[in-house]
Amino acid sequence: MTPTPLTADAVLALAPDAASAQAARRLAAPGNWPTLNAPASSLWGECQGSGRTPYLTGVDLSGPAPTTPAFKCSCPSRKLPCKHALALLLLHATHADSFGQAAPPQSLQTWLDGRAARAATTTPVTAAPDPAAQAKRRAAREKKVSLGLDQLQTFLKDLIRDGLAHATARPYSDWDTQAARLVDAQAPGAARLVRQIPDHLSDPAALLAHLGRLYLLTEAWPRRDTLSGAQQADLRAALGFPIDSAGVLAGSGLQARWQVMGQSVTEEDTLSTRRTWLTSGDHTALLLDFSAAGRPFPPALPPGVTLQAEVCHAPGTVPQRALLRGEATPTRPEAPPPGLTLDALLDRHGAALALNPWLERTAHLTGPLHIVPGDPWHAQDHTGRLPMSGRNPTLLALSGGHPVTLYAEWNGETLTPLSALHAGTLHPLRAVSDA
Amino acid sequence: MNHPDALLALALIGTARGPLPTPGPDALAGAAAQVTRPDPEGTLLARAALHALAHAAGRRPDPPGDQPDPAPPETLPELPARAARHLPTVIRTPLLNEWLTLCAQGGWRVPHALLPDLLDHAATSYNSHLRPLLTPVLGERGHWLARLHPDWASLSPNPDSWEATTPAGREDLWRRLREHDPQAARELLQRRLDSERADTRRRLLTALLDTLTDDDHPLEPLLDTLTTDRSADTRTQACAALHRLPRSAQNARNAARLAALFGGTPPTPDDHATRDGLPDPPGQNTPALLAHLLAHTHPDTLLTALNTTPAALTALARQHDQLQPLAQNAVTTHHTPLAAALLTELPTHPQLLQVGPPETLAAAHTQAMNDRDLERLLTLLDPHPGPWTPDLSAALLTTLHATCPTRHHAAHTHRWEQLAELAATRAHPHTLHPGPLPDDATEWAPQTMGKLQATLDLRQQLWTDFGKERG
Repeated sequence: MTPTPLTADAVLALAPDAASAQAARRLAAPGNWPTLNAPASSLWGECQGSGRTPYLTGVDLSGPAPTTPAFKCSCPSRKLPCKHALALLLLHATHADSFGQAAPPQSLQTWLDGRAARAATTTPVTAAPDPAAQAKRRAAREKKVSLGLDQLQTFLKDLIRDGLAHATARPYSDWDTQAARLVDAQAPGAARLVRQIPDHLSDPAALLAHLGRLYLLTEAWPRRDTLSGAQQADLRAALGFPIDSAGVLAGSGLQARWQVMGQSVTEEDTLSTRRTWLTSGDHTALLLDFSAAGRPFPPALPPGVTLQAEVCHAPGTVPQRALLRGEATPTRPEAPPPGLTLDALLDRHGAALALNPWLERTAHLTGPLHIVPGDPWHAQDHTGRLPMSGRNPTLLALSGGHPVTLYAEWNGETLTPLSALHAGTLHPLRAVSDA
Repeated sequence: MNHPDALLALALIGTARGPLPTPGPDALAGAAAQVTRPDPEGTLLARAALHALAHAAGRRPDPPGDQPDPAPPETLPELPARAARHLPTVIRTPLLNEWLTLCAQGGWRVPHALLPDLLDHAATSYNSHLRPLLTPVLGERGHWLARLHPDWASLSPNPDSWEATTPAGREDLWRRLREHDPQAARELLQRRLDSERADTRRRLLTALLDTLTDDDHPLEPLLDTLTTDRSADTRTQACAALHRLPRSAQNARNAARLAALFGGTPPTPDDHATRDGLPDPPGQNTPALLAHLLAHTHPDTLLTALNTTPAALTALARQHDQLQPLAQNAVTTHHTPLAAALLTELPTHPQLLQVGPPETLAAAHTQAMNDRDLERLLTLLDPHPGPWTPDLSAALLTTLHATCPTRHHAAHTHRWEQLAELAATRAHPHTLHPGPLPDDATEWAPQTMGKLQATLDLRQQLWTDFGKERG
């Protein structure tokens, strides 16, 4: 069967970076492709590049979900998917009639067969972990964390004893050293918060609030045994313990229709984090992907898509971080629920903070809102207004000054719109930073 | 001072320099009073954390402010998706102009979601042809959006905002007014030009020269005053405009001078010599004066004053060895009859061919293709706007195919590539591909031809998706 084409937006969302997306657009003209074919749930084509022999590009659409294709290309690019694979998908989205039905050449067929064979065999071949060794590693790590946080507490108290007015005079290396110690102590989450201290130096009230939050970590850790399991999970997540994927996936899941509401990427030092928010009724699931040192992310779930999927939440007082179990299959979208007022959004955020004081952000469907450009931009409804991060011309173009419903992240300071409900469909947004 | 502020004040100077503040009577301060640690630093940090969290959790929206007026309803239909889908592909390529033209020809407006990228590109582009193409397709939403964004404001200048806008914005405003109401545009020039800065003046006069017609004779008094302007640019532009208005006094004076010259009586020095740009010293029967007058007197005025025909005028110019100035004149004034006459003497003059009768130009194209003279083809075709006729396009593609650089003969490769690039954007998109290149073609020739065909295919798709007929 010929697979239903992904929409052009969905294809471009797969791009590892903006340059690839732009290059793919340029290549997505049938004339660049002497050969284009779409045999059973795959695409392949030949693209005339700068060399004499054209590149042979293949896309496997037979995966668990057509929204997560696999790619192969004979070009030397290390990006995945490369511009040729993206262009091939784009062409399929825009010029499906230019595709023939011919079978792929041997090299591609071998790859496709190999993938099919791997998909057929079941994967769990993980060695049974040795419980004793695990407990030992765990104890060793906890000891390191204890030492690191103890030192951090002393550092924080020293800051307060000397007065924060003197903190601005400290060399940057002070903060870096302290952060590096926490990395060594295997508490990268705390290290991150320490690295953020210099951002608040110009605003004493924000600085004190930030230090207070860090201090809570150093107090909570030594008495973690008095906390509930969910609270302990919050604490571990804030300290940067990795989640126990196997444990999460072994737990109970929520089999439902999940709508991909929006995506955002933040970069800290050399690590980029991509957040994908899914909702189902009142449930929210946050999928995280990481990419280090500019390497591309794994293919994304495009916003706007609705999936039949089983979501397993990581433990915590506010169910948010989650993993997908098994296959996610696209399904008929449901009408989105009505948006929250800004007051109700803050209410929900406050309720979540009451449970987990280290929660960095929550995401909500909010609206109808008026978008007010200015410095900064604001979103406003009859309950009041909240500042937005950056500028968002696409949002303004879609709304035209009329109220609009958004899916947005709130981090306690600014509202970041991730997508807009426009004419019944979810339109992903890219914010433009003011920098 | 409330409790959080008191805590902050102490945190700033340091707990070593003061006692902990006593929590106040309110509920939150009461809760804070319950938080104690063995040392004042710990107590302060823990109480600060409590207050910060309570503050964050209890936050209410800020009071609402003014909001912009919504965009007016659209008056044009939205461009159908099958045509709109091409914009991301063609934006930032030479094909954008054609896409915008097709969009405007169909009477459509750009879909809202695509506006920001288009406005961003137009605001940063150096392509001056883009602005006028953009105006008709932005729709109400696009103009509304452009006015709200500081970087885009110049793309949609408000007619009432002449004072506030940039020189480029004023030029744009004037060009738009000129299109809709030429009389109002003339009145605007008469009213405003004197008080404009040099930069704006140059832009407005350039825009006038781009759009000058016979109806602009009422501007003559204004242009006359500008021929004595301080700025040499302004003087030149004003003289050029007066030259192209056949009934201007400048043309009449020049025709009288020329008649006197040909009649054997050298023109007497007169007051207007300097403002009319005559070469120094005036009044002599020098070839310089003759050349100037032949080049700068409107052909219609000349023909009437000398009571002669284009052919006779051409013969006269040849007698005096002054064909080139007369040719320059015919080109500047787009005078087809004079160009036709001059082409008998200067059959290969590229600009004359553009002004002359189309059949002469077509014959020149054919000749150049038969001669396989790529250099000449480039000169002839470069000023020829697209889309070219199907016949010319097909013949050119055949020529490109026949002149393909080979491993044995690759002397004209650069011209060949330039011509292929020109054909990609200008040739008629429904031109048939001429077939595979010979085996001994250079390694990159198939790539160039492939690119040309890819562009033509894309443009063919564009035409189809915009519902444009083959014609």
